[in-house]
Amino acid sequence: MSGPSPDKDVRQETTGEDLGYGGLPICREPWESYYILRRGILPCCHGNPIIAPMTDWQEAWNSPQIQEIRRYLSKGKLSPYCLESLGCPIVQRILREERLSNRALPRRPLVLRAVNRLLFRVPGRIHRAWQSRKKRRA
Amino acid sequence: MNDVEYRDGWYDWETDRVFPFRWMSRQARIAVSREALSKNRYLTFVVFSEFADYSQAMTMSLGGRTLAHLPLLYQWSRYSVDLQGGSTEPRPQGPLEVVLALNKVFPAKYHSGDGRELGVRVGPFDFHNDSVSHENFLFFLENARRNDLEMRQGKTRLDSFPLNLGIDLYGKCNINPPCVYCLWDKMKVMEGPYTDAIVDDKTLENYGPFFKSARNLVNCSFGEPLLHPRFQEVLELCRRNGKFVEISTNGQAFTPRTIKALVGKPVSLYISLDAATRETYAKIRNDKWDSIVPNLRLLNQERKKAGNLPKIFMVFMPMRVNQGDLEAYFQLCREIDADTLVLRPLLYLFNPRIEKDRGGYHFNYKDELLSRPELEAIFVKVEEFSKKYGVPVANQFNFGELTPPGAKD
Repeated sequence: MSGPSPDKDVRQETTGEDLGYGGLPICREPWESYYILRRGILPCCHGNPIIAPMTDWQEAWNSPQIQEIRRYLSKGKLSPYCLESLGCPIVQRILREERLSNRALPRRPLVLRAVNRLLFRVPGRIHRAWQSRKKRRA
Repeated sequence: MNDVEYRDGWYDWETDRVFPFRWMSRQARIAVSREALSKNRYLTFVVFSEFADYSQAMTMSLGGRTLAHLPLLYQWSRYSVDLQGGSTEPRPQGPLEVVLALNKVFPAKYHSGDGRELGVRVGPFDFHNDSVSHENFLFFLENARRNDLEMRQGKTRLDSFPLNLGIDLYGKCNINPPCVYCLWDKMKVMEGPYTDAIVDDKTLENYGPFFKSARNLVNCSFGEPLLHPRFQEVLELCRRNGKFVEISTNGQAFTPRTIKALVGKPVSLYISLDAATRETYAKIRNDKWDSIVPNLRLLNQERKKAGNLPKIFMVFMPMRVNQGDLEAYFQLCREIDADTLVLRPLLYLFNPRIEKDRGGYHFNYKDELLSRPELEAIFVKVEEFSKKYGVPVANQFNFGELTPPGAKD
């Protein structure tokens, strides 16, 4: 017999009306997708900036940067990386909804974001690397 | 008899944006000819499940013996089943009956008014003898389920691998100067020495579990992939391994070689024209409009002889420069039998500072980005034209949203 044997993790009820759309993170990309591109490794097609050079595709899949993105998304929040990726329709949609519902966003102040962009996003990268190192040590 | 004869449990043939298919009821049977069995060991087919959590499963059996138990992936995916199923016993004479059984069906509340008991959509059956490809499929299936579990459990360090693999086939382009909205110069600086790196069929195989786990390969080159010297070999590798390939092209590299490589392959070809007239095209790209449409007609003619593959997805990025071309673009899609018109957002850039003069038009990126109300007005028009011209639309502004249950397009 081929194919994986049924296991307890997968629901096997025969009358289920639930299509299994619930329980998913706000974006599935950093689990389901991965981009090995000449310009570098990206966790999704709208990702920005790159997280590693092209040749580091094996290590980058579970790199601290991608793990941080997954951690935020699984908690229903956009990660700092996502908030840098303003071309992403999911980010734009959530920001639009947030603006409409007038709630405060868990993001850095406008001045800091502007400074980050002016300095080619280097401060953001250093900050993320520092945060990851701090978490690893903890 | 044909290699596969449909017995009970099947509804009539239909088609969606991707495959021709038959809805299967909770249980269905097919008979496989002895001739096909004598030549092939594996049965292969595509299935579309509406369940996003792998809780729908298909069990296949032959003569009371289980051949495979397949947890089904959400939406279209390819499956491979070993018809020997480990048995070395001689088979009885005549065609063999394979029973396909589902543990649950697509709930009726999502297709009320239909009246049928719908299980899954199943595409045409085919055979193969490639044991490596079958082993790769088993790895793929196990990984896909693990990936879903890890995602639902909120794991950050994964043992599984991604289902969608972004690749970068070719770093050179045939449009020079680049299209007005293309971030070519910036990307080539970022690519540095990797612009000329070779990415071909061997590279993809070297990606190992990343390649084996992928259901879709999505080419994201800043370059024209149809110019790749081993384009045919790359697509053949993907076909052999049951991968769906997504390729974006500017439509200016259709030649007998590239058309031959594309036809009959499981490719979604995204053709980025963004214009329906010579004048608008010249403002965005160049003066080669006149060769585009005849080549699209030729591609369509050839793919009709090969199972309507590749799928033709015509891309339109709404911008200020092409707003007047929308209806004509639908007409063009209908003329060349495009499977879908794809509405794709122009990449949002913070303070882009990209200005170019082309075709007598001053293109200022910042001004070309349409506001939300302008886009909403376009979505309304798109819906209207889609009905008027019978061209399905895929709106990529809805990126990340799950398709409504039961939707065909």
